[in-house]
Amino acid sequence: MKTDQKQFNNSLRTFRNIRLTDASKSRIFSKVIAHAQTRNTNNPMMNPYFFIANFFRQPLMATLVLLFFISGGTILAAQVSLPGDFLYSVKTKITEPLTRLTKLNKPAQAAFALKLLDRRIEEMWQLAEKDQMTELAAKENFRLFEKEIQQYKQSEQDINSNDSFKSVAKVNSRLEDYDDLVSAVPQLTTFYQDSTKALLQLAVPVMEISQETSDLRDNDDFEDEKNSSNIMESNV
Amino acid sequence: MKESLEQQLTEAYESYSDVIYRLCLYKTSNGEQAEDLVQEVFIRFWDYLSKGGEIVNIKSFLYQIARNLIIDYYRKKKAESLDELQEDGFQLSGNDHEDIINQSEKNIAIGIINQLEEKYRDVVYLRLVEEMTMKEIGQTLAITANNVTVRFHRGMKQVELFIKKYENRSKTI
Repeated sequence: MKTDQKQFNNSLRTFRNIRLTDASKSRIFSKVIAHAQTRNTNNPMMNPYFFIANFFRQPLMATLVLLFFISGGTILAAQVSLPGDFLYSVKTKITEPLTRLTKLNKPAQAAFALKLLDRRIEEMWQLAEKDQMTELAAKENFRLFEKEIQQYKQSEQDINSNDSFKSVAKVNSRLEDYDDLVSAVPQLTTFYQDSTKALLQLAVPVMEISQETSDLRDNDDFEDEKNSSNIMESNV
Repeated sequence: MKESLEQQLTEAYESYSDVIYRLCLYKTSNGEQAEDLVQEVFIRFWDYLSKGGEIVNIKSFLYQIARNLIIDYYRKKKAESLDELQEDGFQLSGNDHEDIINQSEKNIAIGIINQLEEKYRDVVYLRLVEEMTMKEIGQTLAITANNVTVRFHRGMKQVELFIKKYENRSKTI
């Protein structure tokens, strides 16, 4: 066993003495140096985490990031605000106009206007349910409602005559909803009288509807023309 | 600054190129491949230095690079599994015990070390062949010095068993 232990130790020493030949050593080192000289050590390679790590070290950048998150939070909070709330103006003067800008074609703009009409109606209902309705809030809401009606009418100008019947029905149904809402809120007695007249003015006149109805009388796609006519007759 | 980095590279190469070569030769059993790996180790060492990286123990750091490259080498090779290669031991031909006896003395120790369980193998190699301290081995293998001590002693028990076995077989031959 001693012999073999000795053999083992000798073989270890022998292996320990293995070296690169001078030629190999020189050749390898030349290649390493050549690689080193091709790299520009004055501008070390960017650490993938370098920008992120330094980004937050800059006070200005950190402030901008903070402002971004604060503004994002404000916009989100504004979405659920109601007339009279502090953030309501953020919703109606910033968020909604910006969203409108993203609607590039007329049908999209018209659909967005209808969406805002529904939103205005919903806001009024929520105020009424919370018993926070005031004349001031109602007037502001109505002003925005009226503005959306105008927006909708502008968007619908390019729609062909076949669809105008339906589009009229859409806006007039919202007018009806609004009228019902205002009439249901006791605090808005005075406002109701004023708004009803205004709503009538916003509605599409009966003459235009009648003309379109006669043109499309035989068209099966417009089965709901009678319904639209009934709405206008009740308004008049 | 650049001169200082080159100086660091040169000093590291002069001090440890043979050590890294032996490790690569031990793992790959191929002289040419071992030389290529040595080159790659120092290229990566340079890249790390040039990025401003700090190194506490250059020897351990070079060993870590070498071990990672060897793992990559075997993954790329895909010829045999690492375990099968290491079970065959460090040998130039065959797997027969007679071949181990007939080979030059320098292979015997490595052949026996390669028979050890994987967790003892590197510890015993680094301790016996490269004569690294327990602390250095711990830094290289990313284990505690106590763990290194335990593994080394258990590994040496297995070495003794193999030597006994080797002695018995050589007597019968």
